[in-house]
Amino acid sequence: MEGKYPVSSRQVLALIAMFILGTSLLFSLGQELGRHSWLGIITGFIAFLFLFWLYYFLLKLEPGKSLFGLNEQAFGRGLGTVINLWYLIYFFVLLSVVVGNFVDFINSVILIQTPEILLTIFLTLTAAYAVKKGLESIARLSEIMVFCVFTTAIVVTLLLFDKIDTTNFWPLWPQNWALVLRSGFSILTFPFGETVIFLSIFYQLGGPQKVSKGFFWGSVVGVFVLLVIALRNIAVLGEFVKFSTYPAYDSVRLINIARFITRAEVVISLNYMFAGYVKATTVYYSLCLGLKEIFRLKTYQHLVLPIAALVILNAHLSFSTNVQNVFFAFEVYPFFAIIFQLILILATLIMLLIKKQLGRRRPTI
Amino acid sequence: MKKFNLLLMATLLLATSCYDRREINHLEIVAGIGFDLSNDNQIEVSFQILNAGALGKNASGGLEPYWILQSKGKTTFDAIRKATYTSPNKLFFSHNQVIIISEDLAKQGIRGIMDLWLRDEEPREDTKMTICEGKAIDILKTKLPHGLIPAYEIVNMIEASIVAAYAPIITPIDHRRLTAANIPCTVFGKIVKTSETELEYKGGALVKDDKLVDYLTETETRGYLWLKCKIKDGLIIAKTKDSNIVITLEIIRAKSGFKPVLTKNGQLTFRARADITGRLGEFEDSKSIVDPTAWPGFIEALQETVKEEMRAAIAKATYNNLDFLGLNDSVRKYLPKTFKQLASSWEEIMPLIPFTFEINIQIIGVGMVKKSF
Repeated sequence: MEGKYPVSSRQVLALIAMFILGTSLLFSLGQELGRHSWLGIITGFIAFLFLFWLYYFLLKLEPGKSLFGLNEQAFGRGLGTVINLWYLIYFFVLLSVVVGNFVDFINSVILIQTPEILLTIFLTLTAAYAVKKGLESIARLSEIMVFCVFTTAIVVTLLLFDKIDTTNFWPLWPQNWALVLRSGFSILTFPFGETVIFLSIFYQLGGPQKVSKGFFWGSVVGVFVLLVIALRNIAVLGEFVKFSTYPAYDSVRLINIARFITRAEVVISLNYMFAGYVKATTVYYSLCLGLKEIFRLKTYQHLVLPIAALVILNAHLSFSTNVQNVFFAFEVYPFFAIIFQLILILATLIMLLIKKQLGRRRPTI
Repeated sequence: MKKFNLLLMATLLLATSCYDRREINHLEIVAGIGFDLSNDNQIEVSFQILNAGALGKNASGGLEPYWILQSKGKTTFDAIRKATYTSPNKLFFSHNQVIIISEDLAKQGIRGIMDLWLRDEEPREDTKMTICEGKAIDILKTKLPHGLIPAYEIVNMIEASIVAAYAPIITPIDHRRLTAANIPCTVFGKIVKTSETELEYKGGALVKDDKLVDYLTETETRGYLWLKCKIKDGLIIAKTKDSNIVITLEIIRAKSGFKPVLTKNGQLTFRARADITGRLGEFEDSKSIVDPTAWPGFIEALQETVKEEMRAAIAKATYNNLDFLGLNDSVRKYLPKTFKQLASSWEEIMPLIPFTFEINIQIIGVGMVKKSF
């Protein structure tokens, strides 16, 4: 099943955009900034551009090798495997959190009486099915879905035109820049930095030039939609965005055009499903791929179901309320994730460069 | 294997997710809710519930189109759930149109109601809310001469109030938005039962934090609406000073509001402004009007009326330290530096901040009559 997939640059774009929108559509990014959350998003994205450059450099340095292969090359078989296992733990936690977030959302606004475990099982199993079918199917799916998500975000914003109050944005500049930077940091790690998982997938999709083009524009589309949503939420809900659990959902509930076009929140929750599904599937896929590569297996297909069982358990047990979840996302997760998104990548890069230098010198000695 | 999979999928289609579905005949659809304070200090809720059997084309005659249910409990949610003691089915709130809170309860505090309305996923955040004089259940029991369901008529009445612009329209999400912006007072609309078959929606009720503290007169409410740019329609009635002619101006378009500014010598002032475009609606003088603006004191009289209304609201807001206009918030928005300096002594300074007014009235027509008799 592996090897070169016929995935186009546009599909890479869609995949990245959907991945970034994934769970971040659900929560309001930079919520703690209230009316300045858009500044947090922009700060996070600017910081991400540095990360992007780093990832691009790594891709170009050793084309045709995955993140796991690079780690082994940089640190040797022993230490490399340890680091790779750390990465797998990170992917696993990320996957459980994504699944957990979605189940929490469905359980608190749509299917209240349904037992949580049931939703977790179905969400994970559908993701498992897609993973079994391979990356190509996920990429094709996201190509269609990114269009849906993008259009809905814009249309819904237009439908809210009469609820928009631009004075909510004042004052434009925050008093507390430290909080903006702090919030920008957590936005860097969630969702932008999470694209680090694509480093373990990209080598299958083609040359670094083609892939990183999709990567870059995908993240631009992602940040654009996030900004539109953040600005709309602030304009509609004002300072209440700070206190709402799902601000986007809350603002869309207010759509009321002549008592005729109302209750559009269903569309939005459908969007959440799409984006969250793509995100869960992508993380899931790279988790399986990583396991396969580390343990030198031939295929990963037989790993899919056992992992599903673990994910279901972990997602079910990790958070009891969605507020706890948000707390984790802001207070704990960034410091945990930055190790994998920046520090280890940087270490790998430096080691590879040193080894390259040494390797180049050796013949001359 | 493939066949088995297909079979599995087909079975899944049969087992779609309606296991906790709620059919319409097992729902009691609530059209309006009233909250009262019971004699033993509990929350008493009255529901106006649609009577599905009496609505629709082949309705059986003789049935009332709605019925009223009452229950009480320690908290709002408790009271609502206890409705099932007497109701045949569980109540359904997504189609609730209006929330009426009685004076007594509002004086005790409405935090529970406001919280429940946003925390629970079933009720809508954009339901209209009002505070009533007397008991809320009496309002719901009013037999209005028009319409089938009083709650729907009340909502229509609230929405129609835009035309006269004498009362604000508030929903739970509006209230939450204001409180989130640290505006201490919210102006709710006020509904009064004037007779057995008549309700009146005008004026405002001031809720500070979560308690009703005062009522606004008509003029004060109007001033509030001007300063908050909520008047889009309505009339301005004025009397010219010298000639004592009563003029009625019909508002076609209006844009109004206020903004804090720092004058050159560093004095904080509020600049209230209104740009009104209107049409002569009524004119009680027999002379023909060619150009209304040329009449002595014509525009001035109208401006004076608007100013008076604004002044009334400002006086109320600053004198009792009930900042329902959001003066504090506007300083925070537009002059963040000044806000920081004044934050500690704001309450003493607020009544002293001067207001300047700029009312522009443009008259674009005199109607279909050239000359009155």
